[in-house]
Amino acid sequence: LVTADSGVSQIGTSQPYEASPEEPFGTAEAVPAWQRGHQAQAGWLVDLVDRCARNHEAAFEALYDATAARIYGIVLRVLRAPDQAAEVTQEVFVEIWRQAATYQPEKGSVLAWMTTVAHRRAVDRVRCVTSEAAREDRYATLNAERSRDLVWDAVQGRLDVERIRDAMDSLTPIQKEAITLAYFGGYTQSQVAQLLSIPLGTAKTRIRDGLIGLRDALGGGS
Amino acid sequence: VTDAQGRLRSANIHPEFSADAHSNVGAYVVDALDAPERAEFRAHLESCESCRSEVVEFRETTAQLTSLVQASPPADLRGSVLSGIRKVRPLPPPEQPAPEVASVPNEVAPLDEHPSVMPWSLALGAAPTESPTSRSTSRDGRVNRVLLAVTIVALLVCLVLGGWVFVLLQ
Repeated sequence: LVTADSGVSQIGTSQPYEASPEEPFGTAEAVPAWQRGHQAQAGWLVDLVDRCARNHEAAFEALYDATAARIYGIVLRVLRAPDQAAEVTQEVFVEIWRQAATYQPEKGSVLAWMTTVAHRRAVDRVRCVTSEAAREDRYATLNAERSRDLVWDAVQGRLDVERIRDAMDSLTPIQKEAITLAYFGGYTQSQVAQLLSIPLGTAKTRIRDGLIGLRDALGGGS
Repeated sequence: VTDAQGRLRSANIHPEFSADAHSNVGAYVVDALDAPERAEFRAHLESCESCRSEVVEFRETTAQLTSLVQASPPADLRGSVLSGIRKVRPLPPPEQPAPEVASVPNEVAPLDEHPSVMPWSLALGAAPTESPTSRSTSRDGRVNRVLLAVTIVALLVCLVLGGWVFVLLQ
């Protein structure tokens, strides 16, 4: 709990928008380019969602274009089957459209909202699959997956990708593996524990510590 | 089956949660809890502010992880999504901007039960903490206004001082 609290305050003070008003002229240079880009993009996305709530289809189109690669990407990563991934992605976007008015910026960014809905949907779909064959297929691909690094088809945001990959690399290998299995693999913590032959409590800790490590590595921006 | 078990188990949960309830926060954010664990953790969230803010932060973190797996969706998906939304009416805004009570998750959405009716607050685990992004939008505006005011005042002071010095020199 202590570490969590100190982490919170740390991330709070290291956010660019917290730059002290005494030196406002320094902020523009102190904020790295990627963060300025993120701020602008985050604000733009909030505006788009706002307009979606008022039935602006053009805003929704822009929102789709800005986020489809991420949403489809994470859903595909969890589900593996492109046809299922397309189906779930469609559900996610229709849901975003429907729920646009319920989005509250003070509870998180648009991307966090959308990827949360998408990941949850994908995982729901995985856990609905009871077919033994499908499960074996998923377990079989796991070993191949372990041996190589994260794969991505990013066309844009190379810098971003670099930064996030660096953050992943800053984790210990065991934390990285737990996060990869849980988030990208869509496994439950009990399955993660089984797959890694570790006690459940250890799996929990690795997942949480991994997220703390990523949060701190990404939040500071240094 | 899982759902029935989940209900059974959550019904038996002791009202006071075990000390290590916090330890599920990571697994909750990456959707790695099974239905009963998830129900238990959501109940814990109601009374644990530090977990709520951790949930909000971790969600920003996992959102960034999606950069690593971006993939071009099939070309026909865009068209089918767009025609899909034309048949769906966006929900009206929630009745009230909801004070504290509503910002606490009070209902459990079981994993395999109609996730389509999961409102934003449930999907998010509803934490009241401000996110950095939301802060930025309002803050940027304020900082800009403050900057403008400071600049104007500084200019005025320079003018007055300059004028005074000029008069003195004369």
